[in-house]
Amino acid sequence: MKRFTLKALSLSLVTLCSISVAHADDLLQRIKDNHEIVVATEARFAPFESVENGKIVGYGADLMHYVLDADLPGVKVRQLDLPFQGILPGLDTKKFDFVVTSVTVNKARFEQFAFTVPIAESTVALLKRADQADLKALSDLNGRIIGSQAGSGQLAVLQALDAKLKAQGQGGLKRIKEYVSFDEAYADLANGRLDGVAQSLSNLGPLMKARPGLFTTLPEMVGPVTYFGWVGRKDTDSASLVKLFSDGIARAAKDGTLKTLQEKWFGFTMELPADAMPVPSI
Amino acid sequence: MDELIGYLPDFLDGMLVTLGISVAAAIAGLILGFALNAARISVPGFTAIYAIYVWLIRGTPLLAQLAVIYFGLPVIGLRLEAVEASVLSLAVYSGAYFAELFRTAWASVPGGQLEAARVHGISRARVFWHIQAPQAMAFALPLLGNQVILTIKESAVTSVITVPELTMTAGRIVSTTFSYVMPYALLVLSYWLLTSSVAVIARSLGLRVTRHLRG
Amino acid sequence: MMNDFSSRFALYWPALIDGALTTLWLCVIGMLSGFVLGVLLHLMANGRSRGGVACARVYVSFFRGTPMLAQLLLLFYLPSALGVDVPPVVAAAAALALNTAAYQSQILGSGFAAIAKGQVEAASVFALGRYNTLLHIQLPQVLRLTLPALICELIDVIKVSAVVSVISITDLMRVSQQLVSQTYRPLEVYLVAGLFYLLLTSLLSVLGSLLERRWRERC
Repeated sequence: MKRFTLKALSLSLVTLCSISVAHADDLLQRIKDNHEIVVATEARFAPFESVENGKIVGYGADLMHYVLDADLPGVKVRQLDLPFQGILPGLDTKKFDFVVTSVTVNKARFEQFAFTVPIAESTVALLKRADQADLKALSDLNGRIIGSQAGSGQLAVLQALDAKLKAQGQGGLKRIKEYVSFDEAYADLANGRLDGVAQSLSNLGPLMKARPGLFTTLPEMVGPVTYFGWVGRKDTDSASLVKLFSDGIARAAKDGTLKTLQEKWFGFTMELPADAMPVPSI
Repeated sequence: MDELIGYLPDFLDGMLVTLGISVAAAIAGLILGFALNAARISVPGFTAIYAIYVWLIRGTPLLAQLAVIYFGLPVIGLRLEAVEASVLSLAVYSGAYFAELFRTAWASVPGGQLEAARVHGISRARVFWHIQAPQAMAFALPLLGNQVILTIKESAVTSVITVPELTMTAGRIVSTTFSYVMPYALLVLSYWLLTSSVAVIARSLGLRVTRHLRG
Repeated sequence: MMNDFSSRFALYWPALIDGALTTLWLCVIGMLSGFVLGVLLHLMANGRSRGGVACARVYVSFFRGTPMLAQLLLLFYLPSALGVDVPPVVAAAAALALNTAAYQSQILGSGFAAIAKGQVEAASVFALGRYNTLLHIQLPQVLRLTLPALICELIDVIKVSAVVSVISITDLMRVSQQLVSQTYRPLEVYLVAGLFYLLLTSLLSVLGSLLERRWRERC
């Protein structure tokens, strides 16, 4: 009698367990249950994210609060700030739930991660000192020293340009220097160690305002039109969370909030695809 | 995995840069430290400068010193390339430690010898070079190897100012391959290889040089 | 120009204090855990098991022979590959602890060696047991003997801790990087941050010499 009851008990226990495993919570559900979401940001990327008086502010911060206030009310945001080189690795190794920082989409990342719809244009421009009259076109960059951020999409675009110049028999750049953040690259451009910095046009507004007359850009863009997006893991666990953010951004585009924020932080607006992140060309 | 094996030549390049910077800085630091100690002994009033130098350099992180040299000097007109700034900063940094090392080494020479030399009217310079230096150097030699090892480890920080050494190489591989453990594991192994080799070389050199002392 | 700097300094001050406090408690935790680990390491290195001695030697060689930054990065990403979730703060404290333990085991080793062997023998005669001998007889003396060297080590830990900024800990170094983004004045910010580190390490030095004098008098 006892043995039968024990068997029945353990059998039902196993069944119960398998049922609950089948309806396992995904990331979004766990976030809702715990009332906390952990996001990663590189807060040294004005005007998208920067630190002011100990708080992270910017275009990205405003947009994030717009999405979360509506779609995840009552969920506390724990926003970690770290150098960009640690952001995608940290996401991949589950150190955080989601990345709210401007990540340029490219082929390698598109395959590895799940992107939201674009939040801004990340087309890469060439920043130079205003007094460099001899740099007028991309072909003038041959034999020059150009800098960008280590591990960034902008660096990848710069490297693609270098490869293209070399393939055309033009010799290519003299050297590409990799910095931990763009601020250090701007500093080196100002003091002459660099001839140019490859950075997204969207980011250059605050820099030009803070250092008027010092910098300007080449009229020609370094790479093709690309976009910034936010990033989540490319597994089924994160799928609903990525969709939540993506839909929120699309909603902001539709009701004009995105344009308002762009005016506020960039001083201009951008035309962005609103239904999906376009497949990148490089 | 094949991808990572393809990156091994990059690691080798990074190792060479690390080694090059560290050895150059260690040699410069050694000369600097020696000069600082000698000045402390022979130049009156230099002790205060020496103390301040050691206090500043040993009391702040190398990263902060590196940032000041790389970003600060251009403001007053001295603009060094990343590698030059790194060697300079590492040399200044290890110089303080070498100076302290030599100070201890000099103090290890028994005072009685100095008194005896004074009695015999041997000049201070001769005392320094012919009596103190040989014994102090024999004392210091094993510790010098250790200082070179310390410099190799500190050089990791120069990746922050664009020097293409080991740590930056590993970071670059991580961001292009999205694999994390292998590159960083290779990174620590590379450093371990470097520092262990230096330790072995320093130990055997030390043994050979002090052979005469051990009978 | 002075007014400008003082208004900027008012901006730097609270952020840097915050960062300095983060640095300080992280290093203290690392140091204390490292102490316990260092004692264990020393016991292993001087124990009777050949495997234990070899393990201790390899451990010390590894952690003293590789840069803190590299150790930290490996310790941060390795657990995830094995399926374990390690939050950044834990990874940072663990990395600091494991690292300083290697150095402390050497420092403590010389301290243990300096205690007259007779004491340990007397303790075993009185059947005090190894644990009690360690805790009540050896450790207090070792601490007194090695305190200057341990304070030196804590100062080193504070300097080395600057690298935790790469794994999202907002310590003194990360705060200064954020300030550079805000003000575009790297020289100024890094000099001030350097001064903060200098303040921390100098205070510790002074504390160390005060303690040293006090304990020596009691002896």
